Amino acid sequence: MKFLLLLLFISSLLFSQNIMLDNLLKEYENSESLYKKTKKESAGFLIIYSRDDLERMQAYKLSDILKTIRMYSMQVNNMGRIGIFQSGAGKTSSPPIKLYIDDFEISTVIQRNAFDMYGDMNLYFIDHIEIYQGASSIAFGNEAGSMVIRLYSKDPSRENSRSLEVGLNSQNSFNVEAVDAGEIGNYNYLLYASGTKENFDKYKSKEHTLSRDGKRYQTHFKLSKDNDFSIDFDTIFNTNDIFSGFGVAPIGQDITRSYGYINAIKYLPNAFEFSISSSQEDKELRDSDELGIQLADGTSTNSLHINIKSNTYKTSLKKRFLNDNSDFLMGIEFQRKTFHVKDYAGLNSDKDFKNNRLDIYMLYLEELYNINQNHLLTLSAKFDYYNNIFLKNSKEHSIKIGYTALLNNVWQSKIFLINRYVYPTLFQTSFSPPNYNMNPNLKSMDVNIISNELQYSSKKNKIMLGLAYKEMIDAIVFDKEKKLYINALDKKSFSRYYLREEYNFDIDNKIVIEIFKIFKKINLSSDAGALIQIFNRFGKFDIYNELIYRDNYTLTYNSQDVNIARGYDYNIAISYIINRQIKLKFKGENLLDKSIQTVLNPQTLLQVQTSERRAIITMEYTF
Amino acid sequence: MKSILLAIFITLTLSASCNKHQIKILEKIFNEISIGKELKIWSDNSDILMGLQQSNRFKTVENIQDATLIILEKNDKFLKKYNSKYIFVLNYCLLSEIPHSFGALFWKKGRPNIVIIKPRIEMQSIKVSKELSPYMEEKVW
Repeated sequence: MKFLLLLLFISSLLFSQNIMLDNLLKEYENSESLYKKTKKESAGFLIIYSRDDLERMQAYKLSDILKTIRMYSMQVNNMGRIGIFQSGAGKTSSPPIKLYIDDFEISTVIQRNAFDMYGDMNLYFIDHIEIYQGASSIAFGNEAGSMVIRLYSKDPSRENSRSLEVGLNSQNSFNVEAVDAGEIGNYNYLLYASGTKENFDKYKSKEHTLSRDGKRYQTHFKLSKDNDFSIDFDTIFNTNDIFSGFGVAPIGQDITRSYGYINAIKYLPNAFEFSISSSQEDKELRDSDELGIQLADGTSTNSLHINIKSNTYKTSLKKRFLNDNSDFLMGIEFQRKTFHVKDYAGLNSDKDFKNNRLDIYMLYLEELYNINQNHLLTLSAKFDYYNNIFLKNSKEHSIKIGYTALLNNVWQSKIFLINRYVYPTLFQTSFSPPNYNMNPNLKSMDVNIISNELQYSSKKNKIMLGLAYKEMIDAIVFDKEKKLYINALDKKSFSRYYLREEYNFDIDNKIVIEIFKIFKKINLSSDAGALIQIFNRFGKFDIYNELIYRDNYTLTYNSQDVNIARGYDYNIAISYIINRQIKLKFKGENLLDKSIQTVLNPQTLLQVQTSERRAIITMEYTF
Repeated sequence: MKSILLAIFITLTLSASCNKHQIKILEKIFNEISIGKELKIWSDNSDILMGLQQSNRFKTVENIQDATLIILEKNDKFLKKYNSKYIFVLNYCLLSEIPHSFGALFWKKGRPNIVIIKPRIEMQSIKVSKELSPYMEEKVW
């Protein structure tokens, strides 16, 4: 008995010692997490998905993250693509959400909706994600946005490996992706390629099958030298069945989208940074409908073919001035956006697409000033000049005042006062789909926001309470009668609140609980929601549980009320490390089969689920 | 407190060449090995050398000639003449490039890893405690 106890004691001692060294490695990994170097707390209220989070969540696609974002809802559109909208807003809203991959903003020219192209992109080459809410993105340059989502690619100096991932799911979909990253001398490189064949549930509409099955390919290449230069190159190609299309009885046909960019940054002496980039987007849609597609001019057509090419060119120069109490950033930027309609067949009346170029000249300034050890003032201003070919030019500006205080060792408060604008998209002014009219007289919308986040932080616990009031003057809204976007005559406003708690039981186990509520006059999507995320680790097993809740709401179509049921999107992810080379992963998505639904078409009132129930098995091999 | 404030609000781009956790891990590893004589450590990374010096658990030396154990971040040809010294590296590739090196603390797939090459410690008569057993490898991959 004594011998047994001694053996137990020795083995537990050895085990605890191993754990100690493993824990030291984990602490080292956490302390060196890349997000700690890239995050910018002064830019807004921040949600971070670290690399460890993304891996344990098995977040394969960007949409796996988008659907969790507080005060937003993800929906499926008629073309089978996903989009996210501010809670309470309808599908015709066009929120200026900015998506970045490293330092490049994915700027689609016509729709200003990067998610149409990148919403389902695979995240295998992404290290971490930062989501900035409640403030303007002045310091990031580019056009002002309501929310900024920044994806950061894996750091080659931390990768030093080649790895391959293969996944299959219960819908007979499969994906393959590979990353090779490392250092060659003083240069860092990252190569990524992925291919995905994705199938979805089929729906029936007017005896016709609605399918959004598709394929997606992406490549990404990055070459950089520390403190010298960085070059990024990315291409993505999506093709999928037309789903419902513009009508209700589609006969086959498809939609194809491709996007590519190259972005180069040169880090110059004296904290100057110069960047230049170019991107191209191609979209082609073929839509045939047995019952006809209703056009904006009141007529209908049975077949449409739309083919558009668009380009963006950007260049910017930034300089940072760092003093004892001050961090001052100054930047200038030029953007040119153009589009070219190659084909628009199937209309019964002509559309004029001559207004196909927009130039933007920007100047931005930001001062972060430490008033004293515990108080920081942020002053940001951005002045933009829009030059359209045929329309009147316009001058716009954004101003942000921020104040952050460390009240004591555990309490912190951030307040932002913002006056910014939202410039109409070319989709609203210069190019329109067949069922809308364009409105070249549309003005930009003025937005005023006051927001506050109070944060309590202890060693294990972090609690955040956020509140904001937002008002919009000349709000851009869709007029169903005129079938075009107009500036609303009345002032729109709403307030929003959220509460989030992150509790770390230990280095391996944590729980995140979040609730939010929006208060506005009319809700066209869910106005309340919640999120629960539980991360557990048992030896070589990682287990992740997630529940995304969105409240029910009622829509009115043709004087008929349609109730959209509450959404409960429950996901579980389990992974097991077999050895140093192989990792096996299992994921169950929307296991309750009750995710939030979207009304696809007002005529049929067909509802489709944003997330579908499926099981995914994935194997990752590291060479 | 001021440093906390700066860390919160301003993106820090401080050198990542050394942090206290890295020092703790190195100390732990060297605590678990025995080379039959006193450990006198030199490194081509001055931050690590300073970190080890401050912790006072091991003797550090300014001059490579006086060292018994070398921690290397980069390969350098002049090091060939120091083949009699024990070499621990901070980059996995260096294990292949410096056949005399016996172990590494390195980053791979976004995570820090420890590797001790068993045939090399046996050849150099380095004694290693059982705590390092999970990190033993028969060869460089």
